[in-house]
Amino acid sequence: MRKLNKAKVGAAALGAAAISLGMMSPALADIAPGSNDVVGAGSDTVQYASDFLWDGTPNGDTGYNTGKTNKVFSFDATADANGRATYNGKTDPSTGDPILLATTSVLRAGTKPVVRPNGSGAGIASLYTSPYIGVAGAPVVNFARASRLPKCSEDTAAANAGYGGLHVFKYGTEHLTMAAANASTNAPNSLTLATLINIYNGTYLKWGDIPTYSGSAPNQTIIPEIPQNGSGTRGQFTADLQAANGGVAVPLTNPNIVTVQENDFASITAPAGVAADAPNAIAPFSGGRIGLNDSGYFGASAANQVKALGGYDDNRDLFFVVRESDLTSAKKFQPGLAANFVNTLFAGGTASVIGSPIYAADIQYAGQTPAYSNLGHGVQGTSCT
Amino acid sequence: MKLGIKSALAGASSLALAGAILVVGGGVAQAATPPFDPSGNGATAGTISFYDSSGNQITSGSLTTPPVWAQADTWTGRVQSNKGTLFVAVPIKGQDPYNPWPNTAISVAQTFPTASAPGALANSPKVLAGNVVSWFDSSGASPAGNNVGSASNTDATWQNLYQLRMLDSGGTVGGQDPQTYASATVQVNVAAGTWTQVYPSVTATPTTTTVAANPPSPQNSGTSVQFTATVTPSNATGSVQFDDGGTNIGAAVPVSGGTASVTTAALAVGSHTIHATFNPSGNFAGSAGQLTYQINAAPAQDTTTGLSVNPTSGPAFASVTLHSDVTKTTGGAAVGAGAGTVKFFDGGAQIGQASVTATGADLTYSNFAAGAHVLTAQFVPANAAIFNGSTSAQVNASYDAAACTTCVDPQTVDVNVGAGSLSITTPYNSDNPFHLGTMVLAADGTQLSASAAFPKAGDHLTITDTRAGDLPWSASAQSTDFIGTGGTIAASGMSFTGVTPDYIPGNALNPTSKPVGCRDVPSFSSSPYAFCSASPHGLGSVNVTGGLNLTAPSSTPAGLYTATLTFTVS
Repeated sequence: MRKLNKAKVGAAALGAAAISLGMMSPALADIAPGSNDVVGAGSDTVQYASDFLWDGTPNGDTGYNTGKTNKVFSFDATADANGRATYNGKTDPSTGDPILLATTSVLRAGTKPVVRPNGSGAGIASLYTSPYIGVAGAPVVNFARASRLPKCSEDTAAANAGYGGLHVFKYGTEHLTMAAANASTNAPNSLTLATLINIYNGTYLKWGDIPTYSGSAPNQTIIPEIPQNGSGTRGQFTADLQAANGGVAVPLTNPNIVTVQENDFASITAPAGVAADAPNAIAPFSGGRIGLNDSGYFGASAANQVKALGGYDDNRDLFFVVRESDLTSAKKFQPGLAANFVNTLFAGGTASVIGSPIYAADIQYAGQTPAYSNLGHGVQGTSCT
Repeated sequence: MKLGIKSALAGASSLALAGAILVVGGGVAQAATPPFDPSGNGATAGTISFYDSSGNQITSGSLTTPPVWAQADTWTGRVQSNKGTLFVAVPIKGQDPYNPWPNTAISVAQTFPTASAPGALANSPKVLAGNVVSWFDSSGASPAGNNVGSASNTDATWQNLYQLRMLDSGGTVGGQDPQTYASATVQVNVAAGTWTQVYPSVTATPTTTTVAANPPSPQNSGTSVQFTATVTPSNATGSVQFDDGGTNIGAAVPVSGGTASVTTAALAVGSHTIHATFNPSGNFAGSAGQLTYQINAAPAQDTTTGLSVNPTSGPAFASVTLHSDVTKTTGGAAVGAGAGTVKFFDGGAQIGQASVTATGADLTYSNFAAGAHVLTAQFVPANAAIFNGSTSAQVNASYDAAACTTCVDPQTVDVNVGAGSLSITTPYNSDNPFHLGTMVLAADGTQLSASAAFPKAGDHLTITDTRAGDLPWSASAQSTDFIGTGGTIAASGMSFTGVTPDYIPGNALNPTSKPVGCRDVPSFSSSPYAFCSASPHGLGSVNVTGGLNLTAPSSTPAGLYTATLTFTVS
């Protein structure tokens, strides 16, 4: 079940800021999961497939929660249901970028508001980090959404916290591409990794610096965007840049780089809140999200504002991550049934929700491709501890 | 019991499986209505029915084969919904039927109305679910799924009862409303491995089945007979199993347009009771019909034997293939493997034979001598009651003497070797006795004696061997006592001494390489005593000489005494 947010965000960033401030006070207006419900958080990239798997799609595809006594809650990465970041109205004096608002929510009934885990890293960390681990036997967060595999440090931390490490389930794949404003972009139709390396390390500052550029705005400054720290999309993109750079990490030293909420359409259509900069903005973006947007899920006016560029296409895997110890938990998920929540939702291949063909349409509706695999303990099935 | 839900992972394969559901009988009308139906089951949208891949309604089946489609019987959904999903729920006595009766979706969400649905389901406005991918586990106790598989329905009267629910979604209504659904109840029989719809009860439509044959009875053995079952009403769905006295004739045949047929030519001689049993696949009752069919023994069939020879000319003693096809004179079909044997003849002489196989009978022969040959093939049936024998037309062949650089013409020469003979001869007999002369009294007056060379000068004791085989021989002598007018002289008083071979030049017998060994006869008796032998032996003649001596007591009266001396060679 997606944590619903009633706010309808306008196109302008200032409007969004005002509304988000207003949202903080009525936290109790949102439903809070009970002690027997299952709570998930983390990746923005995975959040819509996760929402649909539990609650169904607007297209009428079935979600798991229908008719269930205990339900699955998957908290979005941001407070905005359109996957957009909210801002606190302040600007980082060192960069001039707007400061992202760390939105809070009550993730479990009877607990205090906490910052929403935003991104794969934050989601994974919530499995072994206070306050998300709650009290003994009653965790706040039960599973993490992730667009990357856990790191050894994360698996080790989970093991050190007494959870036996992490267990990973792959549910599907999607294409990570570069995105730009659909109608107005000055970007060429294709940006290869070699070109992107030179853009993000500051070698190419203007479109005309790209040797093959033949567009109409060679003197316009490129605005390269990078998702927030902890974002699986950011990690995957920088890893791809590094791999294409002979294994050497690419320094993000372009002075015009803007840190944005991953997969935030507003980051393209109004970079740093400036709509006029839209033609020069580029960002690594979820292909599934672009498809979902174009389907009209976020409203007809939002559709087709962002397009995928050619030249860079990483067909990446997508995951759910749980505590290893929860695989053998004796706590039954639903009354009258023997299975715990991991075995009900994730483990068991086609007998589980994320691997069942019954729910495949939910993943597809999110613009992603179902592809189930139980990857086992830790990182790629190998314990790091 | 526990509810076992099996993931069928249907797709196209499950569609095919579902089409093969066997429904036993149509007696669901007699099943008891579950205690929670119709009131108390929570359904607010009526009932649902199940269908196979062809769109035929089914009310029971194997646990391993789910229905492919389910449809609400009357419900068209909430306003502007357009998808249907089939759920299964485990009824728990005393609990709210829609929450928390354990339940889960077992089909994908199906868009309706849809033209791709089969039969009457196509374009129906009623809420429809398709692609049922999970169903009851065949064991009924070891669930493959985690969502309702381990739910326990512990109430004795609710055992084995499960509720199937149809929920709608999509369109403008968005998600499903777990309290708004149509339902049906299914009873699982784990031991039999079957499920049966028990709510809503379904009254099966009665059917009748008759069976007819073409051609009509009686017919001869081997005749191809088509049996056709006619099922009424003509829209009845299912299959017909034909059997001959309980032995199935082929597999079950789907009923199409009220008929199903099977053809067989394998009925044995005798009377047959042919049954046609209709097994319904939809909401129809089963029925059966039968007829009696007589098969008579067929007369032996005439056959035609063909012969082909390859080559029919060329060198003598080369490899020649003789092939014979044996067919039924009527119709021309081959008599088939094992029908008999084909004998091949060159003129009147059989040169070989071969069993008839599916491709005829073949003989490879490489002993045709130079010259003309008249070849025929004769079919000899294995069972004269089935086939009559036949002989092929003659095939003329002519082969030439083989060309050669070193030509050989073997000849045959014969000779007889005579048996030959073995003989021993003297000139003496009763008409020409050998005379020992007059016996002389010894000086001391103790005995009488006489001696003479044997044979006399000019006479010969000759042994002649001309027998085939170069055989050995041995000569012996025996004598009777001398009998005279005044008494007898014992044969023992006679001896043959100085016995010596007297070789005759020009014979194989000679003293060096083929000598004759001789010895004295010290005293004659009535038993043969060997005196000469040839070993190593040789053919031809040899004379033997010696001295014949006789002594007698002085008391012997005067007179002429005669004895018979017999020589034997063998």
